[in-house]
Amino acid sequence: MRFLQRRFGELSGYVFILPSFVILGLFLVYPVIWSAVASFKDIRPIALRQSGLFEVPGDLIGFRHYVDALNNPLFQKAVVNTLYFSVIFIPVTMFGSVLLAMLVNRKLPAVHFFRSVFFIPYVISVVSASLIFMFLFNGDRGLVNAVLGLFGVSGPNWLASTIWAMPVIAIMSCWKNIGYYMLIYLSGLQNIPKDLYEVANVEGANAFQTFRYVTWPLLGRISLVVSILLMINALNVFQEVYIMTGGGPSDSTVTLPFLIYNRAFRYYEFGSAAAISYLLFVVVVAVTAIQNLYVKRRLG
Amino acid sequence: MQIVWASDSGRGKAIREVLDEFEKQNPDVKVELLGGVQYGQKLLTQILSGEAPEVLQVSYGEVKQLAAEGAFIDLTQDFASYEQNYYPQIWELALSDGKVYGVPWLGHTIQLVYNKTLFDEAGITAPPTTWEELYETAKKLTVDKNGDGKPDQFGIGLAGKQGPDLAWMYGMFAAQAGASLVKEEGGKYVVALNSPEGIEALKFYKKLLDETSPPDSLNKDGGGVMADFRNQVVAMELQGPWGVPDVWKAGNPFEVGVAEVPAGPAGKATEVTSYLLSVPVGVEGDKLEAAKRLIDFLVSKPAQEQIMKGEVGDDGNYYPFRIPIRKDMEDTDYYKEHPEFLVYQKGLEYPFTLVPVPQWQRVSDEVYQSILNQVVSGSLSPEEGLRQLEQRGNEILAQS
Repeated sequence: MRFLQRRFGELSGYVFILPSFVILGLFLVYPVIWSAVASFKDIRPIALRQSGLFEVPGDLIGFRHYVDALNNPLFQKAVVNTLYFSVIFIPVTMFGSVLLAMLVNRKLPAVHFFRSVFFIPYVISVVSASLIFMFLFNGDRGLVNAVLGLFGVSGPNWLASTIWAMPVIAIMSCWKNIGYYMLIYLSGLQNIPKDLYEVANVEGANAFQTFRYVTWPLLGRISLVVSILLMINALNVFQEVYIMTGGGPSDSTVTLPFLIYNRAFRYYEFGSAAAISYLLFVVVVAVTAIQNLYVKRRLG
Repeated sequence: MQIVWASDSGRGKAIREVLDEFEKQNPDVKVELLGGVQYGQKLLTQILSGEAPEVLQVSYGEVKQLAAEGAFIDLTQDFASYEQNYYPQIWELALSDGKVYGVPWLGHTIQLVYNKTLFDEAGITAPPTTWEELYETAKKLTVDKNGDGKPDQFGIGLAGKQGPDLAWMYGMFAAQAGASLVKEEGGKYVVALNSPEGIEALKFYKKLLDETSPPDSLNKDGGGVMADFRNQVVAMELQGPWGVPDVWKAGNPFEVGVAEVPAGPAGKATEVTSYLLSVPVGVEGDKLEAAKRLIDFLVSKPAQEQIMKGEVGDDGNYYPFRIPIRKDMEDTDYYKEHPEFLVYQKGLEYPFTLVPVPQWQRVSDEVYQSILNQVVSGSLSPEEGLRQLEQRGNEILAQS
């Protein structure tokens, strides 16, 4: 006992964290390991019925699911589409939420009301939001094209265009998420010492310079968190696509989660779905690590 | 004894009456009705958990896909003789490797739904019966009513959005031209659509879509087309039985008619989906016996007639949604009162199968729907599109 205590510290602590260990183990660690094994196997769905908890049925087939996925033109297309989405979604959401946060960080009348209003889109379900944007961007009778029409511009048929469909989905995601990230930035803004702004003021910095040299650098760590969260968002776009475009036109809005869903739950190919998930996972980890390194170097 | 039957959503009260009748005839069995559609993840989870309802309503495609894995109990011994109640091709859909893994219960066919009021206004007396007539009629009904130089009423609503609706709509035309989706070659299935018939059908579909459908059809699915029909933007649509009560629900703004699909070069053909009653593996003993008795009752003629009582709408009333799938339903009371629905029953005679082999589902999702969308939007020619479909579709079919 004493030996154990010397080696591991106060033992009662372990008892306290035991429930979390069990829950995380069952619902997080176990599926992660299970699907990792599954990605190397050819699983017949009904075989799962007889298999035990720690058994993954099926024959080992090595990296075949991974090779198949990488060779699938639709997989490559999905990666490109996700990039296209990210290039619009991440910067717009990030700068949009910083701007809004700075706006609602002032002492304005009814500022709490506006904070709530900006947050509302985040609460709306993706399904409703998708329907709203489908109406807004309807080619014939949509509000956006009607407004463009007032200026003599004939708008495109947004969701039927291979160029515009993905940006529309991205803009909707921005609209939905900006309120949430605004709150995160707001808490960051409120932690910046006031005297820095006073110094900037005394030194004669204009608004842009204050932002560039005081606000933005001091939000660095928060921006790191936000950019990682946004990237994870970007890699997980699914419901919007499922509802608004069904992956079209000509596959221009197919995303990886869309492929994974179809594989697992339409064709019951769990092995290949798991393999694509792990490819997605590797990308997420790699990009996060690079981001982390970069920001660390910048912030010292 | 208690058994559970998972049926479609919304059919609640209308089908409860059928079950009450069953329980009266079988006092030892109580049936609990479970709503919701049984497919994909939910279906599989139910079967894997061993806690599935004893009787499931499953589409023929899902049954074929999962029967091969041993998900359902072989019902051949008890139900093979029921073959005589159905048209051969409908019965065929219920078989996997020659065995019965589900008994046809209900389904739908697609027919030509048209706005009689607009037809009368245009002086058209009869619905089109051939492709040529369909094109002419659709042309005649595509008119500029407000005089701004652009048509605001269109002949026919067609899906152009990448998705399953585009696949079945074009698929019907392809079948009417005499093309088939796949064929067997040396024991393997290969794509057969890249044929003169397939190309002809795709050209015709594109011509109709370009000249007689609303300009935003490229982003429309079946639901969008139905809304256009309800709002009198289009005068015709290809729709299932639910298309008729959709107009009733909107307060009957016009008279709606249903006609058989126009015949193509190879005759009539329409999309038919059937839902089967299956028993998941793991059900045994008395419960299995009771499940079989329930299936036997549900596919009997008196129970089948009740299907036309339909599903509950937003207003709490019941509307027809799908149709019974037996071939001998024409003399039943409901059809005597509502002959417009008989046309749907006729469609069972010339079905075209959307998912001829289970692997076709993946070809459809990953290649076919996208290529059709590219062709109708004009970024690929029909010839090139179907050539690509053959090449990439065969890769997928060869894998499985």
